[in-house]
Amino acid sequence: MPHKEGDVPAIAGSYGDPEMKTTQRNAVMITGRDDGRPMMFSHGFGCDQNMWRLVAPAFVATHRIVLFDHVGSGASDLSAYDEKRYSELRGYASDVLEIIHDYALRGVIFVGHSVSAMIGVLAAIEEPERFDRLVLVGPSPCYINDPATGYVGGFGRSDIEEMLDSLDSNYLGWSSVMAPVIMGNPDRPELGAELTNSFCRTDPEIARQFARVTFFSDNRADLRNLRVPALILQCSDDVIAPSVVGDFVHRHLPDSTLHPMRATGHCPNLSAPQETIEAIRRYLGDDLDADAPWT
Amino acid sequence: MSEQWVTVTERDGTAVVRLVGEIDLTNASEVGQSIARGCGAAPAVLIDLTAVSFLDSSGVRVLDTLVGEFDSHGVRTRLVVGESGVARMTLQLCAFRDDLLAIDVEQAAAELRG
Amino acid sequence: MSEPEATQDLWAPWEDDPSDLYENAPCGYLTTLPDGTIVRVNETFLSWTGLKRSDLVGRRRFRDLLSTGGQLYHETHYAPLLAMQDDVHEIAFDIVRANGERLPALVNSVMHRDDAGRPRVIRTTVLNATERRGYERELLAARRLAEESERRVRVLQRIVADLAAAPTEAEAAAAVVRAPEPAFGATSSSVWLMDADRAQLVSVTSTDPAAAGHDDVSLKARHAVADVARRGTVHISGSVSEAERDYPDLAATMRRNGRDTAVLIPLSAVGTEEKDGPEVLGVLAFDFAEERALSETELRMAEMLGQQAGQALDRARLYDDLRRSEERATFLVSVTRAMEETHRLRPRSRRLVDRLVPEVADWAAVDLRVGPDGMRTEAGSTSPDAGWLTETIDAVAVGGEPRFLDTGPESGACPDCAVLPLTARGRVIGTLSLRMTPARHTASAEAGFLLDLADRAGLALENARLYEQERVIAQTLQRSLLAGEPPHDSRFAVETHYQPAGYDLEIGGDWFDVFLINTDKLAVVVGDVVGRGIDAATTMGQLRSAVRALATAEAGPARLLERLDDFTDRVESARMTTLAYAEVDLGTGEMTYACAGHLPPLLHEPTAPPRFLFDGRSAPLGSRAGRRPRAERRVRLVGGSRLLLYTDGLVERRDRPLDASLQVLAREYARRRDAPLPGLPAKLADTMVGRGHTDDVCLLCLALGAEERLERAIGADPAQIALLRKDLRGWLAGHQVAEESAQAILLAMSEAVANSIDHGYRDDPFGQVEVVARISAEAIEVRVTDHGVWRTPDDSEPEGRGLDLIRRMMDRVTIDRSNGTTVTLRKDRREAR
Repeated sequence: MPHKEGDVPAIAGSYGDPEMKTTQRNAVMITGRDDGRPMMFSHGFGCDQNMWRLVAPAFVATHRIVLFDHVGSGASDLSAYDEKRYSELRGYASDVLEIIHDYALRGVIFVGHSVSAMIGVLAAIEEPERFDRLVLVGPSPCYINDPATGYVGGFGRSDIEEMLDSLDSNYLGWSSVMAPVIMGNPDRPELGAELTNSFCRTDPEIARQFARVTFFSDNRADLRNLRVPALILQCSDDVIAPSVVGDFVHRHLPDSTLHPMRATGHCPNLSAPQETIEAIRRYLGDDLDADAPWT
Repeated sequence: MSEQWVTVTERDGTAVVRLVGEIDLTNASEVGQSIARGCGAAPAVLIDLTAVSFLDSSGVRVLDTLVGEFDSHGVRTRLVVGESGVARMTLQLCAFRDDLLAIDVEQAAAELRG
Repeated sequence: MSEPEATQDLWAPWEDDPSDLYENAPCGYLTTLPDGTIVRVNETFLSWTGLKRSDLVGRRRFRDLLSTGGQLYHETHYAPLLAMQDDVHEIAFDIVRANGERLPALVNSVMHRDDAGRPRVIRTTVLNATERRGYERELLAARRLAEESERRVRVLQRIVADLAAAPTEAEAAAAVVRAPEPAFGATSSSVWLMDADRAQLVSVTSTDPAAAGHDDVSLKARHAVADVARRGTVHISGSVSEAERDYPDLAATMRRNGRDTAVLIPLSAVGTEEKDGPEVLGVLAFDFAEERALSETELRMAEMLGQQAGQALDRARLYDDLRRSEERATFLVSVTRAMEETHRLRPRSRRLVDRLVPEVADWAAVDLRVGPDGMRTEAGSTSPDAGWLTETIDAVAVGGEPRFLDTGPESGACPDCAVLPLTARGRVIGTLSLRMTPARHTASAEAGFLLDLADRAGLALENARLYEQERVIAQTLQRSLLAGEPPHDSRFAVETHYQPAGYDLEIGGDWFDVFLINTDKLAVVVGDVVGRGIDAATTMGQLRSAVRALATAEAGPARLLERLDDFTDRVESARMTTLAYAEVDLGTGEMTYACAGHLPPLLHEPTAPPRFLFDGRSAPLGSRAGRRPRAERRVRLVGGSRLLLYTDGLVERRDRPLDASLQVLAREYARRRDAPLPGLPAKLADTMVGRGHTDDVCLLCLALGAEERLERAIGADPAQIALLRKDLRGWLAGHQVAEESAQAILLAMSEAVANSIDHGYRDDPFGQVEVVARISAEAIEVRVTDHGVWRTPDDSEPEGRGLDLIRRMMDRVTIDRSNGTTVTLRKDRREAR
C-alpha cells in the first residue's frame, strides 16, 4: 500500500547549500529558523533522515534544523563511500564535524538515534566547543557482551552474524534484483520497485559494512571523555539497547541525564514521537527562549 | 670560446683588441690566435690589457710573438697597460719597449693615427 | 465483463464460513497492537509453530517470536518501515517454533490507524516459506559464491593491472606475491625468481615475516620450487603427509610455519613456441594454515595468475635489459670521464676500481705490467683465491684472452669472477680482475659490457702510462740537471731549493745553477723556460749548458745574454725564457748582474733592509717586443750579504698583485736575517706558497763571506767524518782562524764525532750526528750532538776514547747527557787578542 502523504507531517525543508561538499555527500537538509539554535538530527543504522519526520517538525519554529543521511544511506552520495574511512565510527563522526564546519554551526544540539548516539559522542569529544548538548536516543557503546568485564551489551557475536544473514535475506536493495525472481513474477519488475521505494534503501554491501561497524564497535572507553552534557532517552523493552546499557552509559558519561521512556522498542522517534519531543523539550528547557549566541 | 677573453673592434682603421680576465698557459695560444685572426690586415693594432687580471709568462710570450709579427709586417702596435696594474708590471719586468706601452686607449689611438 | 460473474458463480456458499477461513487459511494471521503485542492469532500459525494461543495473546509481541538476528532486523528495519509507510511486504523472518526449530517465513504487515491517524492495530500475514527460503538460500549461497568469485576476479584483475604496470622484476614479484591472500584466502605467499645465469631460484619476497629468509634454491636441487620451475607445472601438497612423500624439506617448512596446504605455481611467459615449453621465470608459492583443496576454478585462476606474472616478468626483464644497457653506456662514459680527470697512472687506476666497486663488482683490481714488480690497485674486500688469481692474471696477460668464472661447482673459491686483458695499441698492458656483485648478472652474462669497459680502461691507462713515462723522464732530466753539487768554497755559501708544482702537474722549465767561471769569479743563475713538460725540461737543460759554456770571465752578464739571444734564435722553444744572472768577484765582492725579463733579485746587505735589484733589466731571451740591448749593473757587496734569486712561482699569485707579493717576500726574507742559510730557501718557499701550489718554485740563495754558523749533520758512518772535516776546515779558513787552532779544533771535532758513532750509535747504523760550529770575537765553539744511548763503559776509559786528547787540546769541554749526548768544545781565539 502506498504511503499516505497526509498522515504524517512532512518536514518542510530544502537541501542545503549545493556549494558545500557535505551537502551532496550527506544529503544535508536545512529548515527551521535561520536564527535558531542549530539542532542536528542524525539517523541510526537501518533507515535515513526520514526517521525524524515525526520529531523534527516540532522544533522547526524554534530551531535551525539540520537533517542529513550518513554516507551509504538514504539520498547520500554512494560514490563517496570509502571502505577505509567508514571502517570505524570515527569516519562518520568526521562527517558530522565536516557538516558543522561547512555550515559554520555553533552551540549545536545533536540528536542521535541508535548508533548515531555514539557517533555524536565521538564528534563532541573531538570538538566540544561546537556542541551545546547531546540527545542520545537508545545509545549503546558496545552491543556485544563482554564476559571478561561483566558488561552486558545484549548480544553475542553469533547473533550479529545471524542478523547479517537477515540483512542478506531481506535486503531491500538486494530484493530489487531478486524479488521478481522470488515472487515468480520476473515480468513484473514494479513489484520489486515498489519494495525498494522505501526509506531504508541502501546498497547491500554498504549496509553490511555499516552493520558490522555499528554492532562490532566498542566505544565504552570513549564515554568518560565527553565534556558536553547529554540526555539519554531509554525506551522500555528495547532489545537493541536494553536498559542496563542505558544505565551503563549514564554511569560513564561525566554529565548526563537518564530519561526512561514509556515507549517500547528501539525507535521512540517513530513509535512515540510525542513522548520523545516532550522529553527533549523538557531537557532543553528554558534555552528555547534564551538569547541566541549561536547566530 | 675565446670570446670570453678577446673582443676585437675596429676604430678608424685600427683594430682595437680588448683582453679580459686571466691569460695563462691554459688559454694563451688560443688568445693569441683570436687576436691574430681578429686583426686581419689592419694597418694598426691596439691591444688593451687594462682588464687583464693575470698574465703569466705564456701570455707574455704570446704578446711578444704578436708584436714581432706585427712589426715585421709594418703594423704599428700599442699595448695599453694603464699607469699601473698587472699587465704594466709584468711587461715592464719583461722590458717591453717603451714605445709599445701606452697608458690609455685614447693616447694609444692618437699615437697610432699620428 | 462476464468473467467476474462466472467467478461469483463458482463461489460455494457452504464454504463461506469467515471464521473457518480465518482460522484455517493457508497462511498465518496475527493481529497486534502498535507495540507488537499479539491480540489475535489464527490456527494455521499455531499449528505451524506449535505455540499455544494462551501463551501468545496478550503476553508476547510478534518480535519476541523471532530469532535474535531477526529481532535486530525487526527493530532496525521492519518496525521503522511499518511506522513510516504503514505497510511492509515480503520480509523474511525465521520464527522460532515451540520446539526451538526455525520456521522460515515471509511476513507482510499492514498498519491500521484510527480517524485521528493514530496507529490502532497491525495485521500480519505469515507465509510458510520453508521451500522458498530453501531456494532463496541456495540463490543466496550461489550469489555469495558469485560475489566471492567476482571479488576474486576483481582482485586478480587488480593484480594483473599492477603486473602490467610493473616496470621491474622486483615490482612484478611484489605484485604477484600479494595475490593469493585476497584471491584464495591463502595464509602467506612467497616468490622465487629464476636466475638463469647462476642456475638458481632466488627468494625475492614473501608476505610472511616468519618465512622471510627463504633460501635460494639451486635449479638442480630435489626441491619443490626447483621441480616446479623445471617442469613448468603446478604442484599442490594438500597435507603435510602428502608433502612428506614428495618433498621432505617442503614438509619440514610447512610443519615449522604451521601450514597444512602448499601450492606452487610456475610463473611462465607463454608464447615462446620455439622452446621446449613455456620458459619458467619464477615460482609463486602460497600456503594455507588448514588443509584446503583448490577448486577447478581456483586452480585455473592460479595458473592464469602464474602466466600473467610470467609475462610481466618477461616484459620487466626486457625492460631491465634495456635499462641496464643504457646504464652501462652511461657508466662507461662516466668511468672514462672520471679516469681522464687525473693524468697519472696510479690515481687513474684508483679511479677505475673505485668506480667499479660497489656498482659493478664487490672487488676489483688493476694489475699493470709496469716497473720491475708491476703495480696493483684494488678496491673491495672479497678478493678471490690468491693462487687462482695470480695464475689467471698471468695467463690472461700472456694470451690476451679474457677469462670468466661463473657460479658453479667448478668455480670453487672464485665464483663470479672475471679477468680481462687491458690492451692498448695491440699490446696487453695489464689486466682488470673483477668479482661481480651478486645483485648483477654473472660475469659471463655481462661479458660484452666488461670487455667494452676493459677496452676503454686499457686506452686510458696506457695514456696515463705514457704520461707517467714522460713525466718521469722530464723529472729525471730536471733532477739530473739540478742535482750537481755546488762548489765548496769558504768564501761563499749557496743554498738552493726546487719545489715541483703541486701533485699531478707536469714539470716546468725552472732551473738554477752555481758555478765558478774561474778561481775568483762565481756565477749564479736562476731561469724559467716558458711552458711545461718534457719539452720545457729539455730546453732548460740546453739553456743551462749554454749559460755555463758561454759565460767567460771577460764577457760579463750583458754579453752573455746577447750570446744567449743568438742561441735562442736557433732554439725556438727557448724564446722568451727569463733569467737572472750574476757574476761575483770573490776577491773584491763586486757583483755584476743582469735580468732578462726576470723577476728582480733580492739583495740583503748586513746593515740595510732587503732591496730588489730592478736595474740591469732587459727583455726575455729572443724577445721581439722587448728591449734587445742588454743591460747590466754593478754593485759592491760586503761580507755577510745575501742574494736571493727566484722564479715567478714564488710570488705569482692570482689573488694578489705582484708588487704586493714582492713586498711580502722582502718582509719574510728580512725576518730571517739571522736564520742559518741551510733550509732558508725551503722555508721561504713554504711561507710564500705553502702546499697545493700550481707552479714550480726555484730559489737560490747566495751568502757572501763565510757563514756565521756552520751546521752539518752526518750519518753514523766514520767515513763521513772526512767530509765534515773538509767543510769545517773551509769555514775556519774563511774566518781566518789560525792554522794551529784550526788543526786542534778539527782533531777534537773528529774525535767527538767518532765517539758519538762508536758509543751512541753502536746499535743504530741510521743514527745522525749533528755538528754546529759558531765563531765570536773571543772563541770558536763546536757542538757535537747525538741522540743515541751511550753504553756504560766497562774499562778505564769512562767517557770514551780520546776524551783526554780532546780535553788537552780544547780550552773548555762540557758534556750534557740530558737529551742524547752533546759535547761542547771551546777554543779561545788567542790570535785575536
